[in-house]
Amino acid sequence: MSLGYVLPESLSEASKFLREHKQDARIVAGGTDVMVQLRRGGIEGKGGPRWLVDITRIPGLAYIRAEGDVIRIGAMTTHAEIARSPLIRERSPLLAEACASIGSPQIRARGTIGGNIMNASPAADSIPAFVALSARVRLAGPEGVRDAAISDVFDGPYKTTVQPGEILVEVHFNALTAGWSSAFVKLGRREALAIARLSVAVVVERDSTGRVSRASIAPGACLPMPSRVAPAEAIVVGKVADEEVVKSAAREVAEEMVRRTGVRWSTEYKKPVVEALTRRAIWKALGVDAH
Amino acid sequence: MGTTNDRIVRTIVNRPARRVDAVEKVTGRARFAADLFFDGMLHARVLRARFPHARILSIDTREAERVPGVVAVVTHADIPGARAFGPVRQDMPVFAFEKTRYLGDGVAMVVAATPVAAERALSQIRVEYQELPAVFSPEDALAKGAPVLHEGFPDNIVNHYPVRKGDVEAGFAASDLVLEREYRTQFVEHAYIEPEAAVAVPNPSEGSVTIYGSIQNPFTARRVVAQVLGVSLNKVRVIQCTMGGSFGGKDDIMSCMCARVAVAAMKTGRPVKMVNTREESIVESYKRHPYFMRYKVGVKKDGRLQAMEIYILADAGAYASMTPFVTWRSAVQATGPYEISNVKTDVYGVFTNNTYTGAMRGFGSPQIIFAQESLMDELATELGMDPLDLRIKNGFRKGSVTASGQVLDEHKVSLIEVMEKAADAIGYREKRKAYPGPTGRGSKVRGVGLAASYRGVSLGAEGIDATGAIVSVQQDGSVYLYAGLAENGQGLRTIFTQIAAEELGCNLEDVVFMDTDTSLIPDGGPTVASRSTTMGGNAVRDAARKVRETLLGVAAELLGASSGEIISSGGKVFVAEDPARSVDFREVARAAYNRGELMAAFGWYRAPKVSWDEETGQGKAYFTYVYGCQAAEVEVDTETGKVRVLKVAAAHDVGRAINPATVEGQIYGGVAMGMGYGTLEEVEMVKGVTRTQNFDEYLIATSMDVPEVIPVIVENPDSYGPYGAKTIGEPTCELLAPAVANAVYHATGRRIRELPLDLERVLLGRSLKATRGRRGSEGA
Repeated sequence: MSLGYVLPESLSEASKFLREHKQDARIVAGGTDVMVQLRRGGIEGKGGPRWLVDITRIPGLAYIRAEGDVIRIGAMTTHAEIARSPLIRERSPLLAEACASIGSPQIRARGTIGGNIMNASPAADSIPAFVALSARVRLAGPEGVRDAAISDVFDGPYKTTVQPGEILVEVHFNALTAGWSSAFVKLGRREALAIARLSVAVVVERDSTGRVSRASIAPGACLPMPSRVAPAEAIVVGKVADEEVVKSAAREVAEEMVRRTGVRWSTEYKKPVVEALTRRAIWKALGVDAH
Repeated sequence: MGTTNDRIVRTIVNRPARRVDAVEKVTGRARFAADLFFDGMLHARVLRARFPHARILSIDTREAERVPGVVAVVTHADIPGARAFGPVRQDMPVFAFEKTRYLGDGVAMVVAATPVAAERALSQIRVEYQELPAVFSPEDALAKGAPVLHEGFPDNIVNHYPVRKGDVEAGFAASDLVLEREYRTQFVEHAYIEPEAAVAVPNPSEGSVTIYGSIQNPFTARRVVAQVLGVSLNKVRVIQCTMGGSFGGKDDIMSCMCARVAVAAMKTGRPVKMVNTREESIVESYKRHPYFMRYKVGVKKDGRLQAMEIYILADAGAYASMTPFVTWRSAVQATGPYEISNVKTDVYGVFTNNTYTGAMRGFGSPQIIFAQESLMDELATELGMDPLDLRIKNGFRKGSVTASGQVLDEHKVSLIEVMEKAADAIGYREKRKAYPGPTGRGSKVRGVGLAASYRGVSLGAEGIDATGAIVSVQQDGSVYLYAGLAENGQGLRTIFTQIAAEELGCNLEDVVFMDTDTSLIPDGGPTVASRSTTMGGNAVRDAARKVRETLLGVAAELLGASSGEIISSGGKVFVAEDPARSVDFREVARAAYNRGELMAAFGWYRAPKVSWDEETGQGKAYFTYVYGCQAAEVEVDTETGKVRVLKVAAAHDVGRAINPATVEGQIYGGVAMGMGYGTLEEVEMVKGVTRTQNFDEYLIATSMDVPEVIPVIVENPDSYGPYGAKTIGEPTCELLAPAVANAVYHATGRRIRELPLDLERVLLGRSLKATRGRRGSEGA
C-alpha cells in the first residue's frame, strides 16, 4: 500500500476528490499536525489516510480582512500572520495572543488557522479564542457553501462534524468594539514549543457603569468538546466584577469541567489550576493585573 | 621542562579562542555520518523486541528476504565471533538470541537497497516468542521470586559498592538530630541532536572493515566490532565523523550499531549504512539511571555532621553496560563534599526489563547530588541555620578526609571559595532575607537556593587511565595533530590545538586537528569522565614539547644562539633578550626538514596512581578533584506549580581555563541540561514501553526557558593538569536540579524529593501519570 498525493488547484476539484475518497483522504495545509501523525503511524500505518490532498495551490484562501464589524480570516492564513496582524491585535487581541503562543516560529510560519481548527485537538490554542468570540466557520462543499457555529464543528477530541467533501475555507466573527475587552491565558510546561496544559479565553463587555453586560468564557485543554461555560458567564453578567464574583465564576468553570469529564487522572491537578487560570483571565480581560 | 619558553607570557593558552570547528558547523559544511555515501551502499533497519522479557523460539526471515530490494536479513546466527558485548560484563547481545530483555533489543536486521525496502521487510520477519514475566523497578527486581534476567545473577544485582568509614551507629548516637529522607530521580535521555548513525565499508581482500560513525569512543567500538567479527583489532578501522552531540550517550549503543553494520557488510560484501530515527534512538539508547536514595544523617545542634548512612538502588535496566562504573562514582561521592567521620554507604545496581542505563554526562553524580544537596537544605531548615552556613561549617578544606578515607592534600580544596563566589554572584545572602517565602502575598513567589559538589577528575580507580597524541610539523610550518581522544562537541579540538600551538610557538591557524582514526594512533582509552583536557592535554603538550626541542635546536643554529635562550611564540622564533634576532617559525620548519630532523613526536600521559578497596570502599579514588557550586533564583507560580528559573550563577574551579570562552560555553550548556533534568525532562516508561519517543513529548529546555547564566571561572592550578587545568564538562550539569529544588523550597516551603519539578509535583507534591495516550491533548 502506498500514500497518494494530490494537488488540486480549485476548491471544487479538491471537494470532489475528498468526497470520492471520504475517510481515505486527508487535507494537508501547513502539515504541522498531519506530518507528525503520519510519522507516528509509519508510512504504511493502519487506519491512516491513503491520500493527502494538498490545498496550498488553491488560490484565495489566505486573508485577514474586516467587513464592517465582521473580521474574516481565510483558512490558509498562518498563525504568524494572525499574530502579527494589526487588525487582529487591535480588534480581537485574544486571538493574536493565542496564535502567538502556538509552537515555535517555524510552526507558526507553516501552520494554518484552518488546520488548527480542523485537527480538533482539545489543546488547540486558537479554538478557545474563537469559541469565546462566538466565531462561525464557512465550509465549502459539493452542495455549496454553509456557515456553522465553531462549537458545532467538533464531535469530540480530533473529531469533527464536517462531511466528506467539505473544506473549511474561512472563520469569521464580530470584532471587539467599544466596551469589549478580552484575554487569553495559557499554561504550558515550558516557554516555547509547549502544548497547552490548560488555557482560558475570555471576552467581556462592560456598560458605562462598569457592570459586565456580556461575558464569554471558554477554557481549553480540559473539555472533551470546546465550548463556553454558560453557568460561569451567568455569575459575572450583570455585576461589577469583584474578587468574590470572579472567584465564583472561576470555580464554576472548574466544576463544569469535572461535570463534563468526570474525575480523571489529571483532575486533581486541573481542577484547581483551571480555576486559577480562569480567575486570571477574567481579571486580565478586565484590565486588572492580578496574576 | 623549565626552559625559557615556559616562563613567557602565554599567548594562546588561558585566552579565549574561537572554536576551530565552529565555521564548518554553523555553515552546514561539516559532514556527519548520515551524510556519507559509498558505491553499492546498502541500508539497514532493525526489528526490535515485541516483549520486554521473552524467550525467542524462532526467527523466520524467509518472507522478508523475498521483499524486493532486500539483500539480506541478519540475525545472531550470522555473527562469526562474540554474540554479546559490554564494558564490564559481556551481557548485551548484538542481536538478541535466546531472550529479549527490553523493548529496544534488536532481534533481526534487514539490509536492502533502500531504507524504504528495508523498512517494508521488517514486518515480514516472523518471530515466535514465549513471553516471560518481567520486572520494571529495582525494588520489584530484588523481591523474592522476582523474574531473573541474566543467568548467574539470581538476585538481579549487577553490583554492590559498600563504603565503610568509622561507626555510623556511634555517630547517630552522638547526634542531637537524626534525619531520614528518601529521594528519587527519573530516566533521562541524552537528547543529542544527531541520532545514531554508522557506515561499515568492507575490504574483502583483506578481510577487514572500516567503520565511520557518530561514535563517542572509537577504540571501544573497534574492540567490540573485532570481537563480534572474530578478527584481530588491526582488521577493524574506526574513523569518527563529526559528532552531533553525545553527552556520554554514543558509547555502547554505537558499539552495537557498528557491530551490526559490520556483520552485515561482511555478509553482503557491500557497504552498509544505518541511521536511527529519533524514535528508534529514544527507544533503544541507554538512559541516565533513575535512583532511589535513602539518606540518614546525624548532626550536632551546632550543625556538625556526625554520621551518614546511604542506601541507593540504581535501575540498570536490561544490561550491565556502565552501571558498575556509574554507581562506583556515586558510591565515592555520595556524601557530598563534607567532612563526616562515620559513613556507611551501599549502592546497588539492579537489573530490570526497562531500557538499560549507562553513561551520561555526570555519570552517577547528578542523582546523588540531588539527594545530598536537598538533604543539606532540609537539615539546615531543621537546625534553623542558613543552608550555606551549614555547608561552610562542614565543607571540605585542605587536609579534609573524604568518605573513602582519601586525604585532600595534593590540590587546592576550593569548595568554600566556589560556594562564596556563586552566592555573591547571585546575591544569595540578601535574597535569602529579602524574599518572604511561603508567607508572601500573591501567587508568584521567589526564592534562591544553591548546591555544591566535589568531583573526581578522570577515571580514577575505574581503570586504565592513559592517553596519547601525535604532533607532526610539516616542512612549511603547518602542523598535524592527532589524538587518541575524540571531539564529541565538547571543544577538545580547540583545546588540543591551543595547547599544541602554544607549545610549538606557531599560530592557532597552523594546526589541523585530524579526525580520530584508530589506525593512526594508539588506543588512548575512552573520551569520558571529563578527562580530555587533563589527560589528553598533557599528552599533546608532551608531544609538542618534544618537537619544539628539535626545532629550537635548529633555530639556535640559525640565530647563532643557544637553544636555552630562544623563545618560540606566535609564529616567530627569537632570542629572548634580543627579540630583533628572530626567524619565522616556517623558516625553522623548512630548515629542520632540510637537515633531515624528525619533526614529529608522540606524546603520552599516564594518570597518577590511585587505589580502591572493594570490600571497605576505602582508597585514593581519584588523583585530583574539582569543586563547583551553582546558585539559582526561581519564581514559582503557586497556583499552577510552574517553576521559572530566572537566574543561575555557576562557579567552577577548573584549575586553569585553557580557553575561558569554551569553559563558559560548557557552563551555559551544562546549566541548560541541568535545568532540563531539574524541571522538565523525564522518559516515561510504563511496563518497559517508552512513551516519550520524540521531542514533542520529551521536553528539553528551549532557549526561552534557559535563564540568565553568570559563569564564574575559578582558577586554582592543579599540579597534575596541563598548565594546571582540570575539568569542566560534567560538573556543570550535576548541580542545578538540587539548587532549583532548594530555591523552590525557599520560595514556597514545598520540598520536592523527586525529579523533575514539573507542574504536578510542585503543585501537588507528587507526580501524576496519564493512563493512556497523551499526544496533543495531554490526555485532556
